[in-house]
Amino acid sequence: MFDSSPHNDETAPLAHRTTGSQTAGFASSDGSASGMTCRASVATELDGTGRTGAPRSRVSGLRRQAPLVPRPTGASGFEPYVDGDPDIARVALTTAAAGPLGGDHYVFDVHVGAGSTLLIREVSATLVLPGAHGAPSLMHCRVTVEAGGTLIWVPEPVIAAQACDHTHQVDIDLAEDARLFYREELVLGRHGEDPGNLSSRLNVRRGGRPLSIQRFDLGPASIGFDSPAVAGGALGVGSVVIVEPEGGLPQATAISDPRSALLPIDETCVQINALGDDALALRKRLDASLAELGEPWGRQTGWSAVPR
Amino acid sequence: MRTRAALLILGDGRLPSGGYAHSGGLEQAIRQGWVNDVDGLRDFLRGRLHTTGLMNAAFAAAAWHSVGDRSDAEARAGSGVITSEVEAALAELDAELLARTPSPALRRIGAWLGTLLLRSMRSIHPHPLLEEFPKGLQQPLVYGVIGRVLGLDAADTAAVVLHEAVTGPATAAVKLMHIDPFQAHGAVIDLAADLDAAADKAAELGRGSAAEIPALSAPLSDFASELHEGDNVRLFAS
Repeated sequence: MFDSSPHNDETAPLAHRTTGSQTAGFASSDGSASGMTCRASVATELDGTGRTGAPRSRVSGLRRQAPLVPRPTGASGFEPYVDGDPDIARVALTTAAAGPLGGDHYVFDVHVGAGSTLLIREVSATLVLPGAHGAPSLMHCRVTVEAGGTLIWVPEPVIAAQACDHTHQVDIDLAEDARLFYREELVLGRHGEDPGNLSSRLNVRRGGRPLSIQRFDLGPASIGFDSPAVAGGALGVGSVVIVEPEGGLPQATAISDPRSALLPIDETCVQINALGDDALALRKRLDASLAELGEPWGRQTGWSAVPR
Repeated sequence: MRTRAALLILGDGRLPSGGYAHSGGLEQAIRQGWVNDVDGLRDFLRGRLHTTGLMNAAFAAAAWHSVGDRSDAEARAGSGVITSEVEAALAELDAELLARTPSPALRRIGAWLGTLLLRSMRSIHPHPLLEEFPKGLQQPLVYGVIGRVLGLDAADTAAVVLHEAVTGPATAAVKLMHIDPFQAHGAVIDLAADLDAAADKAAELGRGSAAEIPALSAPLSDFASELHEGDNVRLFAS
């Protein structure tokens, strides 16, 4: 649907306002959209051995283009799977400006090199605003995890402000023995606000084959999204996908309450889905499901000044 | 006109294809208090139509396209109407659909209903395409090949899947809560325009590559099917 071909702007130092032709099929049809096209990327590779004698990962490539600014960072709080490991690569994704706004087109590429491990977190939630014309906006994350690689991605919530029209697409291509932890939290509107439209698409493929493919079309344009067959009256919709090539994941469904479930996909993959009346209720349900799953993916944590 | 009668027979709830034992998650939705009355039923059906209903219909249309135009197949006595390419395409469709169905209970039910539908149609209307059709595939793919066998077009094949997706729960509703049966069917009629539009959309989606078919997730339906499997007292299988 959207043009996802690589743009020839590798050397462009700054984001540029686009014209309709550069975002063909994407910018609003009235031609009035002036969106920001922005590309950022992160790549990791193995780099000798660390202090513990284990292989060490390092950030081998980092491309920033405001407002998408990935920054190398240190360990903090509980980290799924890699908790506190000094030898992995850590990146925090920050947005250096408001957005995405209507008409914006962000591309974030992640490449986890063979055998390396990357943890991605975010500094703050993503608030999607409609911009001046309410044109569609797109955040497209294209992720490759090579053989033996591990990606742990714990983003903050995507909040669909009133009148936004946002597509959040995450395509993750895993090698056969790659490991993944991916979490997503979608929130409909800020507190007390009518929600905008948010389409969240997660495509996890392994060895080119489909593994976990989800799409949540939420907001007033998606007929039936608030029905008792889809999301009910929930304002928070979230999921976690875990791929562990060594297995050891639960092989039976675990339902801790009627609005969340841990669902086994196959011997090496589970998916957690949850709904919440608000962002906090959703987060608590996902955390509870992960705590039930146990180490190294989740932990029963008390109150902490450090989020998660 | 052969296809009109065939369409009606295929969409008829009295066709012994196994679907009558399923409420499409409605029984559990009622037990959980998510659906209480005819308005709730109408919302439930609308949500189902625009998510899993449309997605499954798109996969039926995709299977219809994969099987190809075999209208002359009946004339052929020999085997080989399902070529290895067709079989591979169907396997790919099945894998794509399974990846979009996170609930293990729904994956099992989809395969079981596919088995029942294929088995009964083989008896009702023996045909080489049905004889050679791979076993264990999800029900929408079986509808795809049956649509081909009965001479339906892709949109009508999709329409049957959508029809089943809403009439199944609507007729189950009468047995599950105090609801006027006329109102239950009124809820379905209210969706007629949506059903027609969705059938056309599904036919369109089925024309493209399997990977591009949208995964229209319905988390409460997933939860309901999982909760229902653990429920000892139940009227419907799903």
